Amino acid sequence: MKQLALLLAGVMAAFPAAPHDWPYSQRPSAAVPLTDTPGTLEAETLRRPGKRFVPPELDELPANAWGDLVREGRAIFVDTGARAPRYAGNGLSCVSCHLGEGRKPDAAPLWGAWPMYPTYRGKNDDVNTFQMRVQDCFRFSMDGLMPPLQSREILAITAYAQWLARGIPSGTPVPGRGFVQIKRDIEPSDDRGRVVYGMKCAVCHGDNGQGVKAADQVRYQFPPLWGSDSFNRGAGMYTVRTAAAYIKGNMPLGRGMSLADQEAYDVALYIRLKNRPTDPRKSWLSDFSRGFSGL
Amino acid sequence: MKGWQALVLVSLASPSAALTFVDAPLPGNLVEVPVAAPGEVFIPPAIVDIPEDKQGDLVKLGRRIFIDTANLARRYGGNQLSCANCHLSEGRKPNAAPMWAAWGRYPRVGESPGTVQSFEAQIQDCFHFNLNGQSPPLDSPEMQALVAYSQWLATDAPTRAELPGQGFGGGNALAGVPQGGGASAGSVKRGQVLYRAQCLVCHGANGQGIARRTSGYHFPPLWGAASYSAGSKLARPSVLAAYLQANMPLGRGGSLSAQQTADIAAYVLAQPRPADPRVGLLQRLRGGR
Repeated sequence: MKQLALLLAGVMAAFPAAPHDWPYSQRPSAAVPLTDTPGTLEAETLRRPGKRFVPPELDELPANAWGDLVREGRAIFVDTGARAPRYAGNGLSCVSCHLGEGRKPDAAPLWGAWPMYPTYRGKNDDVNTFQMRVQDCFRFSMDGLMPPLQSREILAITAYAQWLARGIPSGTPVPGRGFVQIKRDIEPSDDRGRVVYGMKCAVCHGDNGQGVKAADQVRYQFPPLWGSDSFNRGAGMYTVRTAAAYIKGNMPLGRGMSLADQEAYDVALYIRLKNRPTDPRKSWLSDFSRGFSGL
Repeated sequence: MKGWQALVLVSLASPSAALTFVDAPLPGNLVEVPVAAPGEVFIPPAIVDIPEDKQGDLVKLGRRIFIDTANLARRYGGNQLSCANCHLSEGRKPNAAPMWAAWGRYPRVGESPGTVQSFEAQIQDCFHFNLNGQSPPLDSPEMQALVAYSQWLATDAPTRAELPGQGFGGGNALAGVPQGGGASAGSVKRGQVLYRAQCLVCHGANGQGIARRTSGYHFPPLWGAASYSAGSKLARPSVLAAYLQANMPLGRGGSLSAQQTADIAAYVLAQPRPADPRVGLLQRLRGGR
């Protein structure tokens, strides 16, 4: 019963009633809300003030082949396991991390990413196009296979991202892109992280990080954070500072920027130390030797 | 200071200027050229502003491929044309299909119904039809470099915006509507006279152009085996006329009327050129393209 109440509180925070001064917490293009919004909501304070880019609405898309491609990209984005089953490897969708259908600021919104590519990435020490970046998401975060560059899935996701970025000058870092800034000189502790996880995260992501499945028992309402259905050790989320910045800006859902930097680091380390699929770039032996070389 | 010295100085001072200057004195009987597209156009960044990092290196490679395709992308090029032979001034000139305007407009609805063309697929088509060569794979360094160069040229240009100077300016040439409008079908006979008066000095009596000593052309060939194929969009009279009206004669775009450019396009397209690579030999013999 208590868990149910907490879940309800989380849902209330995630889907507040309109009008509201934080438009991104709602699924902007959802025709029907996932749940009925309770009537007794208080106004939520804006935790990170400043101007944000507002991407276009779905019903502005024209009824032609390009509009169809963008709509298809959105469908893949919100339901990757069903729409891109050839390449998705685990239970995650793009939207599991890129919240609000890739629209929410500080959750690596697509409109913030598109204008920056092609760009240099330290991950592979090379210049990557946007399409190659999407391939990396499939390979690491979704623990699957890289879609070929000419595949329909890549074309559709790219078209969706470019459409969301409509009007943003090319090459411009827009406020709200990527994740929030977080302190670097923080020593994380997984002991404290366990406590934070139990208090703030377990209600949605489960005591064993298994997430919560949707009503159809296939998709996830709340994504798994570790275990075989989660991102693998090659994903950006496997880096403590990256995960901490994501958690700080977005978690608990609907109450981003409510954790201290220290808490975000702690819980990120706690999640990192759990078991998850191996890094596909490494052989199992070198992955095993991870145990002897620290993290 | 003599005219040609100033010209050389200008070309040295602005590294973005096209490399096709000739050491000749400026003509004395200059007339005022009408502005083809009045108003502000987007100004892409300067070459000196390319950052000194790996991405900058890729952008520089893309620029070199763009202006010397015959040499640096010879794996895929079929003839000796370069991208910059049509996309004038290294892909910067407004109304000559500038890359800074194209970058934000793709993917876009393709020509055959129900298709969408991505930016990369358009580059592949350029290689296939205009360069009469092979499509570079999407992950080839040539493709990556050309994409990086285009994106860099579009720095600060808004995504998916309709920018002044995009395409060939003016009307929608690809839809078969020439820029000026109201022109009747081009006449090969009138076109021949106009060609001799306006085009021949650079493109030659046989449309053979003027080749560089190393690779590529100062002035590209307009027909014959070394020119673009019949599958190119520029092999359509309306498209070629729109391009000519916006850009030709070089440096005096907008000086020819719609009827004149339609005539010249009819004359140029009446000459032989490589066949459309999509059309088979038998189909061609039966009277196809």
